[in-house]
Amino acid sequence: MAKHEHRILEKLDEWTAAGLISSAQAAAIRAREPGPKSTPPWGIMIFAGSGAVVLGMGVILLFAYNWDQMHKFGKLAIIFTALAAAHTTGIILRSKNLTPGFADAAFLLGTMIFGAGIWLVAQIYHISAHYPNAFVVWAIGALLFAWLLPSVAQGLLAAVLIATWACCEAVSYDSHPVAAPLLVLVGSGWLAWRMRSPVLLAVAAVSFVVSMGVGLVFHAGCVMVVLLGTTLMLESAAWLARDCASFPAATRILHITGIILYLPVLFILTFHDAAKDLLRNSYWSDQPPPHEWLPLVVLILAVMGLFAGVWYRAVTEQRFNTQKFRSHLLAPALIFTTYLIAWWAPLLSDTALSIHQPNAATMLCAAANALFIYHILGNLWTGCRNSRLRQVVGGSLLLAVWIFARFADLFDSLLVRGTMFMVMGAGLFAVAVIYQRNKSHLPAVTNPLNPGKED
Amino acid sequence: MRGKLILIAVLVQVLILGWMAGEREWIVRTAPTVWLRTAPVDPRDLFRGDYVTLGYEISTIPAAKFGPALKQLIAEQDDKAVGYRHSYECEIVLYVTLKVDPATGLASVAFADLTPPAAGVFIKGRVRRYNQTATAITRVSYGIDAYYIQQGRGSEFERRNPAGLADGTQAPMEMRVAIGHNGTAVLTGHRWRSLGMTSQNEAEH
Repeated sequence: MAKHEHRILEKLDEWTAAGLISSAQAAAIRAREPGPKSTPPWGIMIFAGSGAVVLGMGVILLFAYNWDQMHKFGKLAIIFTALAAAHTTGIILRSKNLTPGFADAAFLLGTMIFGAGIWLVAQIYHISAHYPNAFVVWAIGALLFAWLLPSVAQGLLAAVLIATWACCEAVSYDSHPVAAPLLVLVGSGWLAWRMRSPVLLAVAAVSFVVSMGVGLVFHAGCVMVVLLGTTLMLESAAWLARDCASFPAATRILHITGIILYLPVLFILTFHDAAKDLLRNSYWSDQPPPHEWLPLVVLILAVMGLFAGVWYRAVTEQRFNTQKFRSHLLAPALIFTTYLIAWWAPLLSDTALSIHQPNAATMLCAAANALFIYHILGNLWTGCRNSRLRQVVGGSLLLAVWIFARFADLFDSLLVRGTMFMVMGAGLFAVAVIYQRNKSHLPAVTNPLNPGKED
Repeated sequence: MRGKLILIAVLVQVLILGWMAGEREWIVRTAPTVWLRTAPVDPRDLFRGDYVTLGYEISTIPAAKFGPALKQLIAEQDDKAVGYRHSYECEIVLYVTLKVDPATGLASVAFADLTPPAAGVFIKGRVRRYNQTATAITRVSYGIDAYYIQQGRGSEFERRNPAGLADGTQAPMEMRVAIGHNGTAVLTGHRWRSLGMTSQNEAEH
């Protein structure tokens, strides 16, 4: 968008000379368009930041060699001196305010050396106790600088380190750090919002999803509740962020992260066997300890609270009857609620669990299939009507995936299979025709700077 | 104000590293040391190069050496009525009192319990529930299970064949450990015992 504005300003003189617009109109346009905004020195930040990260990794690997000839105090002196030197450089560059990108890179190098120092001290004193702690301590060191400077690069490092910490805890110790998603949310997510940084928000969103999956899935049976709950949280946050004019990218980032998580989860639930197995594994054989069920209850309440807020806002603003609201929020909310009902309803019944559980799985599978078809038709309908190629392609791909999946597990007759494929082929053909017809009927909206190119 | 906070953040990073190193250095310089018998293998750490994984004799504690609180906890975990409260992955902290052979300096387990003893040298360890049974506790970790060495020297330790010893001869390895007043242990060195055992397969070669 900013690029287009910049090009319009460049073309004003040309248009005035050609007599297309008057000088007064050109002046009015110039006054309206503020011109290119000052942007952060991305070049310096990316290259110097990457340099700092690579240099820090080099320090870690250099010390990993573990020379016998070097005394331990020599190693410690090097690491402390390097840490102090990097941060002092950062402080000096920052105070001179010449190139903020270099100051950020120097601080980032300091934090990388801090991480190297943690491993080095552990190496010198042969500390082998619970190595994931090193990642969380390193992340806290990065978060301090991320907030104080403030710095996107340090925030990114912290988000990656927290996700790494959560994964290491799960893989090596089979433990679940419930604090990880909270740390990402408060440490990196909030900072991304304050700094209006799309990159940091995207990485924090991914780190949040990973941390939720690792931190809250104590039991294989609750994996779907956590994933669907996370999806709904992201979509609700995206909806709430849509009116924030100063950070328009936020809605898109949160929605894309949510949908990337949501569609595969929904697709898995369209398989009856998968729904049955997931539900069967959802019932704990004995009463779980509070540290296992309490985070789940908090998650469910948080999701419900957030969704209630979105619903209230949509109703008061009369936006709830839109395709986006139905597709982005109501559909994930419906499958989340259906999963909870399918999970808990058999337990509340007096009769044996084995009688009700298959019915619950059938209900869940039917709901998932209905919603998947709804997303297919919704995308195709909106895409064709508004001539949006991306939505048409997306809807067609979802349709193809769904038909192929059902080909294997639902239809046992070649006649039905053949008919379904013919219906799908005819449907896709019809979509192409409708899309093209609607596109030709739409008024031609062309970019004045590039005639012939769709805007 | 912001500048001062940044300076504090730098100090926090320095202090974290300083505390990590300082606590261990204090133990190395002031705490009593014992020798622990071990058997090494040689893996590699992504961040810290070569190290030797150490399995100690004191990592296995027979039930006869359980203290009363530890006995009660294990009985409770085995009880089906209340055992579910304890996750299989959860760790418990143990305090293992050591008895030291004055002639060799070698330490062995005197008894283990959930609280530190009033007197004597003791070491703090952690063990997961699935390594706890009514007959013994196995794979107790004391935070000294990795011995970092220069890259390329791992195989010497793995073969237990130090320089000066005939090929095919394996020497028992013992680790020198300084133990702080709170049971924190720090590895300070190793020795090869002179009593060697010849591996039959290699001797035949």
